Amino acid sequence: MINIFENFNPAGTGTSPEEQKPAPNREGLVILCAKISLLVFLAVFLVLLCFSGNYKDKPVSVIEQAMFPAKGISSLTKGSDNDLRRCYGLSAEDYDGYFLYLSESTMAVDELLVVKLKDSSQAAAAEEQIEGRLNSQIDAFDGYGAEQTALLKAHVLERMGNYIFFAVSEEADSWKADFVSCIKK
Amino acid sequence: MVFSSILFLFIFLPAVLAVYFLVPKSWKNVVLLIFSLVFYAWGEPVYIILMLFSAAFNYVMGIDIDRKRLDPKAARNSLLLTVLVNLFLLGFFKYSGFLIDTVNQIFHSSIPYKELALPIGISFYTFQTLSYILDVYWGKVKVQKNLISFSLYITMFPQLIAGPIVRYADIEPQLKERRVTLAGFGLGTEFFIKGLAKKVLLANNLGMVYTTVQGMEIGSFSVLTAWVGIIAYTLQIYFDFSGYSDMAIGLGRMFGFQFMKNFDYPYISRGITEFWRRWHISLGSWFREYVYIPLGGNRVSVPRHIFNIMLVWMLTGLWHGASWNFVVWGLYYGVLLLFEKYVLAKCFDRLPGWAVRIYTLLLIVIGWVFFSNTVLSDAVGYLGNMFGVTTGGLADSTGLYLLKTNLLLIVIGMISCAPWLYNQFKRLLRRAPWAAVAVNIVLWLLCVAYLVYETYNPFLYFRF
Repeated sequence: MINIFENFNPAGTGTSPEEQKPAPNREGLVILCAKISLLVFLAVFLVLLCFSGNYKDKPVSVIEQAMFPAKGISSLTKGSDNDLRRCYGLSAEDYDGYFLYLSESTMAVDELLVVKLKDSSQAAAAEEQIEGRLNSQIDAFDGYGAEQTALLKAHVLERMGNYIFFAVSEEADSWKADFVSCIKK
Repeated sequence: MVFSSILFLFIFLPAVLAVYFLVPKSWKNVVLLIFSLVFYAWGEPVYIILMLFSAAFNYVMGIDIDRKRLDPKAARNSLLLTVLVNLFLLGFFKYSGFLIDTVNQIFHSSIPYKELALPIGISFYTFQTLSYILDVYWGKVKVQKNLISFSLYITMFPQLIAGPIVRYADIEPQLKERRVTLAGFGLGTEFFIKGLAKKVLLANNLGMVYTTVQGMEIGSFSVLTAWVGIIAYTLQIYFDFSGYSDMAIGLGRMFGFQFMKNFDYPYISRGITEFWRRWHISLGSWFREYVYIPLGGNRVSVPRHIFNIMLVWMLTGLWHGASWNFVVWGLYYGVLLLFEKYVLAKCFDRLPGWAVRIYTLLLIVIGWVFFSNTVLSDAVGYLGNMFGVTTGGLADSTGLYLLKTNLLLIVIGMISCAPWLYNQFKRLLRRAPWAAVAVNIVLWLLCVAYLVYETYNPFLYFRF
């Protein structure tokens, strides 16, 4: 066992015995109150952190507007409802909103998809569809497109509150950061 | 906010330097504290509350332990509470998910939990607060009664998010009294630029090589590709971590602080024992001081010593991340250190230096395979790939391409790992100071240009 108590030094760092005497009760009471308050504060903070949603409810159009200036997005093409169905097998009308950006070149794999769910029960199915798209892309490029495969494998797919965020790009992390800051503001 | 960003270099740093040197001496700690909180809050607006709690709680508990000095039992209880709360916070944010996942896997259960982001730097500042509390209890340092000074010790931005882990005993006098000289400031600037260049010019570019290899299917690429990848990672992690430490030490120096050296050319080590005396020195000293020695160190029976070493290295592995690959990585070093101590120590004296260095480097490189692959089966697969268990053959066009396009970078990296290059720089500094200044300016401009035009700037320490 780690014995951290063994080297206890009652003399401290050499202060005089007078200085070492326990402080009057009032000071002890202040310290006790501070300890209890801090521990209560910690408990409340942790409970709030665990049980509160950290994300705001924002329309996807607002998020799209905020994210569009990010590096790399403007060079992609905005996807339509048909693209959403063709690529991901998702129907636009099932969700509270979405925006999709795809590469024009068939040799590029960059894409960005944000879906706003109507409720959390849609999450698992939507994520499954997105994973299906990802796997088919990996299968398509595996073996001859090392860079594309690397990018696909380094994708970002996360659910944050009622949003699903999916990005394949060298900029994926910075897009995610922009997205998170947007839905947290 | 990270040091290797335009925002930090051109807005935050000039602002903090300007205000710091303009205010009177009595306000300098306050200024550093405010800027440190801004620095942290930039990326962690919620978790700054946690860090402030940690500062306030440990401040109060330090005083509490000190005033109970004549009542050992009460002091002991206060210490226990403090250590438990600090470890609980670290465990709650860093290890709870890992623990629940492991339980779920073993018992096929599905205990739910909320995935919380890891507060940046929590492993670093928790270890700092523990060093303070234990040193107060052991009577090695005086209790800090100034809340500003104590909070500054916990939150100081140069070493807050990636170390070095500064022990309170080392910094206590500097919190009260420190001098900034022109020579010290210059040395700090030089350290900072050196660290920035390591991070931006070397680590980031080497990181791209390994990311490319990691993206490939394990078992399908050639032996050459696997070795190019892991050598690039070996160099990347050194330049990334030591670069960040150099920047921290340099920044500290600009404000008059002297932090301990955190890296000392680890890849030239003769043996794993020496490697760990040169790699992440502040973490190694922390574990030695606060875990290994209280466990009994090496003044115990051999079986107990083996247990002590394995426990310390398992904890060292876990400190780096909540995942089994880090546990394996830690235990791997535990076994190697024991093997060196009890078996190989005498052989080393008889072997030529280069042979011992190659042995050491090979083992370090193998260790990084476990460190860089968070899924254990991937690590084992990658190792197999390195030693020929692959369908990709000995060398393929991808491996040759990676080697050809990155050979210069890898060679520069290897040269920069040894003291020779920096010694040449110091010689230049003595003979022609202006030429040395010019070298620093060129490095600085290259870093800035790189940061403006390149977006690949990973930060390896978010998980620490």
